Amino acid sequence: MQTAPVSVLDRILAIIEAVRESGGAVTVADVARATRIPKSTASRTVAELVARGYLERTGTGVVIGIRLFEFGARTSTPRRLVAAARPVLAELFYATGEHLNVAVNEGTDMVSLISVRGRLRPPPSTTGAHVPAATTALGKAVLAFTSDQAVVRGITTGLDNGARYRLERELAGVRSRSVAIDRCETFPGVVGVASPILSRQRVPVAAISLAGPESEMDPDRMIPLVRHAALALTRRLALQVQ
Amino acid sequence: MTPDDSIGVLARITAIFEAVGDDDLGIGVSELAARVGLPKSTVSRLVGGLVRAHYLERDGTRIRLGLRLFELGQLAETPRLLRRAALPVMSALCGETGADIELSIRDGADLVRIAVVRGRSPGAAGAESREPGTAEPTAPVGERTPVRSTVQGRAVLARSPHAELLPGADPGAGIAVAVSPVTAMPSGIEAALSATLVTHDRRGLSRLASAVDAAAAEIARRL
Repeated sequence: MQTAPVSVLDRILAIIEAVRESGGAVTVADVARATRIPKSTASRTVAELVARGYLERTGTGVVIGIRLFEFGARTSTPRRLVAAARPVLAELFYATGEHLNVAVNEGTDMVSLISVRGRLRPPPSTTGAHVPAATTALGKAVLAFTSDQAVVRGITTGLDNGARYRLERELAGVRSRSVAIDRCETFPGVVGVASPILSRQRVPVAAISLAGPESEMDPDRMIPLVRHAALALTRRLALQVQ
Repeated sequence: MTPDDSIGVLARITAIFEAVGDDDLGIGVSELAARVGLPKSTVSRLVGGLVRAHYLERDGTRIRLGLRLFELGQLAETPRLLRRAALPVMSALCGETGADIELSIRDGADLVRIAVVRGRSPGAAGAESREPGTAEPTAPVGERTPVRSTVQGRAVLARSPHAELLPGADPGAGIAVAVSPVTAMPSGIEAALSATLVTHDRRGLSRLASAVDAAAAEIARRL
């Protein structure tokens, strides 16, 4: 009998992913159904994940456990970005009072690493939330500077020709002004302004965004503030590295 | 496939996460294999799968903990609930006392630090590298220590508050540490709230202890 560590790994990852996607407590039967893993195997793997603290049992099923909190808190890139971003976000929040995010690209999504609640209700995103890269200001700010065409293609393949052409033209504008705008394309009535955080090699590592109500916020007034915040964060990260 | 396979794999990936997470700059595959005591080919294969799933990330030849672990960490149920209840109380306690405030949670034989609010107290334990005014430092959150090895862990085990004055770096100044357990039923959460402050007199210690005790009760009430 052959051992297959990679497929065992895939099973473990699929189960954690199913719990993550459920957004709350989920039963072993639901995990087995979502992952198509036989119930007895799923049950045994869940028990091992619980024993090691990756998952935790509650009255109604399993949830993400403390071991993942522990490793998550030790991830260096997000942690450094968050530590560097805090004072920059505090300053931008005092100046504007609007909803703020620092997010990184993951496939077709942007993932928020830290979010500050402004006046928007409900807030369009929270820390850890995924928003689409193709329409949000955050996504466009990063895409405009992404040289990896596979990432860009992954996002534009779902679009029709007209939409793809408009997005490409828009990204050229983002490259020259270092600012991207989302005029109610993602959330109704919500305008977003974002600017990229670039590494020394001009690789986009993240973006910082501000969002407010379309009826009351002038994006043109916010552009210099967001661009300033992005530069401040870029500088803080550059200092942190060495 | 034997039933023990997933235990083996889980033990291996846990060892990999622990070894990788110990180094902020990341480590190479050979060094990682040596540290976890597994053949390089096995480690390579596991790392490949974990990189594809974004649990690890590659930076040149070095490997670091990845974005997906960060995301999952944000979703971890007990720390999330406890942090939501505790952070406003911890900020208020920090504002009132100026001390460094920590919250740790018991996980079996260990204590895991889940939140820190840094105070104004210069020279308090572990405060050398902090940046004033930043709400949360980097390294200490997520740290796991044996429950018996710390004053916080012992307070959780004893289920009673504890305060002591430790000798400080400067003559005449001591470091006051006050810990109160936070217990919440029926969830069974066992946690410790602690405050660390440089102080010159014992009255500072008793004031700190009563403030920490009141804050711990407030957190338990909010859970």
